[in-house]
Amino acid sequence: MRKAKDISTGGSGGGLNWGRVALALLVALPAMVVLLPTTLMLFVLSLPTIVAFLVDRSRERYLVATVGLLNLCGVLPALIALWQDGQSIDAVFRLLTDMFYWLMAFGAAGVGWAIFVSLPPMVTSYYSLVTQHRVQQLRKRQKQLIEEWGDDVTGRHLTELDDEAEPAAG
Amino acid sequence: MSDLAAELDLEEAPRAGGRRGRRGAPEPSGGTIVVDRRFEVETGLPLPAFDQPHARAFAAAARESGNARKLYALVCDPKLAPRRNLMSQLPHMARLPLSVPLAYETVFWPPDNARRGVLILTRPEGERVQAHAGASFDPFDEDALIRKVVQPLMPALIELGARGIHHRAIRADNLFYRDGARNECMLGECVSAPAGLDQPALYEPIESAMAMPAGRGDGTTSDDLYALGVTLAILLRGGNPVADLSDEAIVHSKLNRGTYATLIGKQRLPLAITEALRGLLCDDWAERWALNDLEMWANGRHLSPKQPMALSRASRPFEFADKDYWNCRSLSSALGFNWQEARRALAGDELITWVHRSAGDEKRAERLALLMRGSHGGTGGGSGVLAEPRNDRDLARILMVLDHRAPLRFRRLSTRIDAFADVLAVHFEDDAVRQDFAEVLGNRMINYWFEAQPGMRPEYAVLKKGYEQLGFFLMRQRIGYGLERCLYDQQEYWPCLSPMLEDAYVTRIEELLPALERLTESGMPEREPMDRHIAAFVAARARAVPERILTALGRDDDEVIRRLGVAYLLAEVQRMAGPASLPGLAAWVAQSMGPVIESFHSREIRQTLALELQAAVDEGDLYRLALAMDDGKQRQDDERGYEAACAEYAALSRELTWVEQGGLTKPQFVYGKSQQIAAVVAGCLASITMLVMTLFYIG
Repeated sequence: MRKAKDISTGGSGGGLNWGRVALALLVALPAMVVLLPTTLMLFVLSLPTIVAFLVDRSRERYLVATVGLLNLCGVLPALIALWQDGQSIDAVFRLLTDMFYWLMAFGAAGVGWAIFVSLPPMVTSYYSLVTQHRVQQLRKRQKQLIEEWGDDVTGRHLTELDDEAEPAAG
Repeated sequence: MSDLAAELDLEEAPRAGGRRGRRGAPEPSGGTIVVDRRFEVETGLPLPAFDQPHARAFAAAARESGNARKLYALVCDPKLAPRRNLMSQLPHMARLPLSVPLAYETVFWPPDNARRGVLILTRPEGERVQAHAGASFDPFDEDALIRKVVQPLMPALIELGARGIHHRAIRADNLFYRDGARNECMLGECVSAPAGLDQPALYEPIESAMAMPAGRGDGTTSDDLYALGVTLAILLRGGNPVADLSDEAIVHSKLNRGTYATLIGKQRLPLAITEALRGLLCDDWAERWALNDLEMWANGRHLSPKQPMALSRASRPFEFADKDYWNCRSLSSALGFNWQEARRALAGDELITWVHRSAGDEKRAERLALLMRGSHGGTGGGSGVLAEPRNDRDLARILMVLDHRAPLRFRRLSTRIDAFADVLAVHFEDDAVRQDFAEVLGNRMINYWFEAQPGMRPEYAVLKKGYEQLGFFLMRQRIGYGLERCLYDQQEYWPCLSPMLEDAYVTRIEELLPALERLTESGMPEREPMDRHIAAFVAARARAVPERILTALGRDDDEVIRRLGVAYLLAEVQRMAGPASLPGLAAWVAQSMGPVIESFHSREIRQTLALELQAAVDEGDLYRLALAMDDGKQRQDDERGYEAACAEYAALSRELTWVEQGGLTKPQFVYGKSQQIAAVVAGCLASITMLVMTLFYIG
């Protein structure tokens, strides 16, 4: 039984946790039905995030976070307008015909994509600059350790012993 | 010349003695030393007439003005120990015709530039009766012998016997005239050397004469009376009648003819003297005269003379080394004196046949057969094939069977059973004797000797237990045990024979550390203040030394633990016997603590330890020094810190390699970092935006 339960709950670090998904759907589905206009609006304007979700297969999903957070900011004006217009399907279609909201939502998501794509060259340049400094820092700390604990701390005597032992064994 | 020297009439001093003179008199160097605060000794005034075989005599006097007693000093052999167990009793016997020790002290002796044991003794006023062992003199007649020798000596012999003291140095050349007029004799001193060591074989009963001088031991009053008998015989003969005989020949003669016949031969003596000599020289100790017999005789009551000992004689002799032997005892003696030849001679079974058929001793023959046929060697002797020589262990046991009264003999070693440990002490520097001693213990020869005795005496149980303890020490060969421990455990007053203490003459634990401290006065010695002798000496004298310290001392595989063991052992001695401050010795020990300090990894801890070490040295406190060097918490902190430092260093090395190989600019690393940064930046931007929008819509 215990084994069966373990299998059914699945691993936390692996694929989808179907139990949680089911629970989320159980809560979300009624909300989605009740807030159908909002759900529709969110679905349409959050397409960049959904794409990011499909594209980013890494465990951390930094792309989803980057695009999604800014995308959410871009969707907010449309949602506020929808809620002010009474939350109807008509209002959804009317608002979706307004380019402003598209621009806001997709523009914000675009900024997220832009940040995500433009950072690596910048980070590369930064690390190129700090490499030498980092080497010096590490060497300095090693020297401090040798001064405090003697040459043995380097572990070289062990290596030398191994070297001596090898020919003898051979 | 000092007042003391002026007072001493050196012209009066007899010059005839001086066996010591052959060993070379010390260079005259003036000066006075004080012994026991009560006596002064003139180092520049030797008295060769009072020299003993193992001690040199010098002029001495009491410091207090009212004491006019004539004294002299004996400077003892630094390789031996005087009989200090007698020192508490003998001074009370100063009125008796006996040179008694009044004081003993280890003092600095300038002529030798070393410390020596110095005895202060009452000094005979007359000269030696026999100038030296080989000297001739006018023979004593019966009357003179009784009046000048026996009667004056009786009180001393009775007092010694009553106190259970055995003189063990009664001989003609240690007999002095008590006064210048030669009316009475007195006994010379008996404490300057171990008991019996200075006695020639002639003065010893057969069993003891077969032993080497160091193996004659404390003996009994009966031995003293025997020696007195020999002395009387020599006085009657006007010298040693068998001076040309070797020890072996003397023993052989005593065994075959008896001591009386050996010394007196066919000379006709007055009946009264014959009676005394036969009684005192009786070779069977059970039949020998006791003190009361001698006393009665001296008082004029005459007893019937003892008849010569009836020796058993075989029907035909056993030939050994071109000589014929007619009884087991004389054969055993000859075999013992000629060990290597005996091994070859006893390879076959001839001895069993001889004992069975010629000596007619079936029981002995059976025991020999059991021993010789059941052991290695001795095969094929009768079939014309050359047999292997008998091994040493078997030969020793054969000798025990042939003569159970004889000393324990094994190669060069020959000793009475109670003097076994004395042999090791006297001959410790002789490798061959040391080897023999170890093999006797290792081969359980002592047990065989006890088994060979017809009955077990009460004293044997004590001896056996003591020798079992020696076997235990010998099995452990590490420092603090071994032969050195055997030596000091059995010899309470024996000096420590460490080469470092050669000139210090250390006999008590209290003297050890001051002696080591003195060594540092002329510069710090290079070697450490510990060796096998010192460790064994401390372990034997200071019995409370924890075993873990001796174990640490023996850890030759771990120099740090071993050196800590040295420090702890000396610290224990300081705690036990003082003195409280030993800065020189502390500095000496600290000098050898280098590896201990180096064994700590942390520079900071090493610096702390060096400071603590210096503080202990300044105080001269060895215990503080040892504790500072063996701080368990420091050691633990150091080990933990070192492990952490090693781990950190290894991590740094890995990171350094990675960075140097371009790890920071590798696409994978950069991409990962970029993603993280992008998420953080997006999060920040989103937060700010939401904040602004919230303000906008609410506003």
